[in-house]
Amino acid sequence: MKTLHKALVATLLATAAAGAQAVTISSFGSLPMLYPHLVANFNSVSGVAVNGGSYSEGGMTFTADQPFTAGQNAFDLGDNGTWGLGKSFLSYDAIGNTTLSVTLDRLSRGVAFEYSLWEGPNTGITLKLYDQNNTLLQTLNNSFSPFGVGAENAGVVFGWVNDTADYNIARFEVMGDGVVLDDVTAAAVPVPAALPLLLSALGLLGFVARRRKQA
Amino acid sequence: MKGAKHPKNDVTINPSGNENIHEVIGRVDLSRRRFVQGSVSATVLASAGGLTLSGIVNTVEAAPIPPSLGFAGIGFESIAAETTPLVDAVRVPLGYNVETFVAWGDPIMPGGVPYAGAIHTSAEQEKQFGMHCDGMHFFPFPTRGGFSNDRGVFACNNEYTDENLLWPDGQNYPANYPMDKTRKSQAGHGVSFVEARKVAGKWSAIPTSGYGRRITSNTPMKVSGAAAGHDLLKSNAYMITPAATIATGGQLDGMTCYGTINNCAHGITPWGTYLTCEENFNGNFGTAGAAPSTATEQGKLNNRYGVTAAGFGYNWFRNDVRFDIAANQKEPNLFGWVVEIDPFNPNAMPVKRTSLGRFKHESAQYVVDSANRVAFYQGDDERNEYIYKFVCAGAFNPTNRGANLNLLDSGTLYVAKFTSTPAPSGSAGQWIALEPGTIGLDGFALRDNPNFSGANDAEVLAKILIKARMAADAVGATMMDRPEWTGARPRIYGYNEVEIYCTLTNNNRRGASPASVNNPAGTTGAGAARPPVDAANPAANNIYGHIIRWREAGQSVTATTFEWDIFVQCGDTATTRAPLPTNDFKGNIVDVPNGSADFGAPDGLWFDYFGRLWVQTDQAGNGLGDWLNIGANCMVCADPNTKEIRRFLTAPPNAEVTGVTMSPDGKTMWVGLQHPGEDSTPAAPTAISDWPASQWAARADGTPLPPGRPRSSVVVITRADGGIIGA
Repeated sequence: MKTLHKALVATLLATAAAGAQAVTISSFGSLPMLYPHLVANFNSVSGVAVNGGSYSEGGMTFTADQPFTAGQNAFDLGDNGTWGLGKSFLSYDAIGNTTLSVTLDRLSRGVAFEYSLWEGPNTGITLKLYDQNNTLLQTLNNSFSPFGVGAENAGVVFGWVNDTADYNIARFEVMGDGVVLDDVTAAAVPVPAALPLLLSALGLLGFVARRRKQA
Repeated sequence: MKGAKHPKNDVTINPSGNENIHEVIGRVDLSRRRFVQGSVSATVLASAGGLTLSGIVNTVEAAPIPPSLGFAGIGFESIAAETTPLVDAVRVPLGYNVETFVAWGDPIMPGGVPYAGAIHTSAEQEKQFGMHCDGMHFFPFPTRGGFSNDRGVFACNNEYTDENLLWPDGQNYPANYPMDKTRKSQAGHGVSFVEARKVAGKWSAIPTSGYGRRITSNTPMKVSGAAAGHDLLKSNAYMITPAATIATGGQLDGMTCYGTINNCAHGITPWGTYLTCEENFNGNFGTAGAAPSTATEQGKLNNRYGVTAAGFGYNWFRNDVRFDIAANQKEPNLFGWVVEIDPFNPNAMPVKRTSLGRFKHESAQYVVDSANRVAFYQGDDERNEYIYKFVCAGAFNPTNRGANLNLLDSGTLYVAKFTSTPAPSGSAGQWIALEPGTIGLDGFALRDNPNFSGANDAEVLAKILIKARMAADAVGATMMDRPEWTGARPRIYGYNEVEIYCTLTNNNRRGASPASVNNPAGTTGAGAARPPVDAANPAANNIYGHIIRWREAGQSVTATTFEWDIFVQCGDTATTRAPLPTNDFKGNIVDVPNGSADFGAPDGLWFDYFGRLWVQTDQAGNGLGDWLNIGANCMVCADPNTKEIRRFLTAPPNAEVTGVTMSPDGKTMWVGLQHPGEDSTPAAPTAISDWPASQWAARADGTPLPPGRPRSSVVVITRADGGIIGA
């Protein structure tokens, strides 16, 4: 808890101080933690095959130009090993690039997810972020070195944060080949009624941090 | 595969007037197995169809079997029977590679130690591949584009242990029988899950995979379905430790239990889980005390299922009170079920699905029909027992795995009654629902039969399922010649029937006198009846067995009627046995040349993904007596349309061939060889066989195969040219 608390404080302070800072992130803790989170972890489903339709969970709606499975229970990723062993996740089921579109129920300032993918010629993913007018906000690429054929449930966390007032993510796309995703998360923009509470929480955490620093 | 010396013409059509191949073979070799003894000229052979002398020295060549409706054809040539003296090796056709994939004692999960003989402790056995492999399935990993052909979880039953080979000094009771011997024997039973991965072109059983898992006789399990929670399933509760089984003084709730034993054949579900089927569970129990009297409900139940004080010679009960039928009377009722296991989640608790009924399950073959209704076909492997099917109440959802996960808990259990009617309708059969309202032979509904009396129909149904054999007795089901594996013909290439096959391995009590049948009151001891021959079991003293098949009315798994026929009566064309009026012991196997693929005691049976029917045998395995001509156990491949058969594989001495599965592309096949060297003694474990070490120094992946005792093993078979097995 102490570690989490420190991370929270650091993130919130950093975000608050930086204000408009826009960064790629590699941990869920880098999302604005006190913002409401939309989360799809696929733990409540098992093997829902989607081919042309959609799947909704946690305030997100998933569609794709190729078949995918929500609640996948095992997947061979070649030189990136496998996902399975009780893990429930989303898999891209076609050979070649699939573009998964995730429409958010609420405008958000950041998204993140854990992923891996089939290790092949087309390594890495492309993340595209769109606003409520379907205007492209950002295009990001990410890749990693292969985990090895014996790896089990190995993945990386990737995402993007831009916590500025006029930055609103309404939808994002994840394009890649043989991708597996888990814990897809979006940090929703707080509604006005919740702002006083958020500011109070920020102040409280800042106070605690100062006290600890002085101590 | 088609060999270079393959005959090029059709040996069944012989316009030349010369001898056909049957005549040549019959004249050349009266002993039938040794085709070329030097007394036949190359000219005669050539006239018989282009054969050459050298071409049939080692193989029995015949034309390939062409593809036909729902069947991809067979391209390989039968290998010769492995007759005495038996070679201590597995044989497959030319052009095929066979290697060991995994053997008893190999480590399969983190912490497992390499096999080093019989010295291992129970704790070590718990992380090693179990003993005496049986039913198996390769679960390929899903991957982009479908399923992997290079990687999967290989699930395999470990039916039982050979106590003579399990420890350096054998069982050795009472001189040296500590608790760890019981625990190791229990750890040798159950199921092994092994990650199978092709590494540099060779299949490897990964020794440290997180997917590696052992299910043993002590693994905690759930009990679900219509019988769960019934009082008959509330056995004593224990704390099970490596050193002791300690009574808590309480009772289980009938919805939890420990372990699985005698896991013979298996099944899979269309939603991707493994079914391990408990067969001769009765043999692992015993007591030095007083077994329940047959005047009691439990005693009567034990009698019908063969649970006795002596058991099969296991001594578990001597230091594990859970298996003492005097001290823990209801424990046997927790076995005899089908157990469902998730192969990809080692933390998922196995579930005993009681709605499928309690008997000595051989296998559970599923069929999903065109309406997405799903049924599981099951044989009860004991002489004069029955064939069942379980029809799930709900429909299969092919796009939502989670919606199917409890389909096995609700449905109807049926038992088969085979009757004979005149052509053209063929022989007819009936599925009799085993439900509280079903009227028995005595004219009373099962709910009014004292064997199944209960407070309500829910309890009646629970008792029907726990005492499924007795319910089948009551309704007059057909006593069969030991129902073994069931297999469903794939509905591919235009074949649309729901057609199920079942091996009936043998029955030396069929037609014996004085004639008797299973008493409708459920009082007949297991395997004790001597039923007369009937249409579905037409051979008296049926030592070679047969295979029966049926087609569901309306191509629906929910049908209550079917038509059936006997696919093959097994036998030995060159037998010297005196014929009986109903059994000449020669069988009617269709093969070319005649007699070239004779086999008996059919047991394992499986349709591959291309419509080929594979049949495995379980006879004495020493090639003696009635098996002098047929030789060692074998695996054959059959054309379901023409019934033509080819011999594909022969086993080492005293080994049974059991268990077969494939990669999705059909280019890798796994086959189980169980109990090589059976009947050897602790003092001379290799007196009969030292297989697989006798054939290879190492597994396919290079893991050493130390000599010193025979080991039940799974072999992996590929084609030298990378083609599909059997094509």
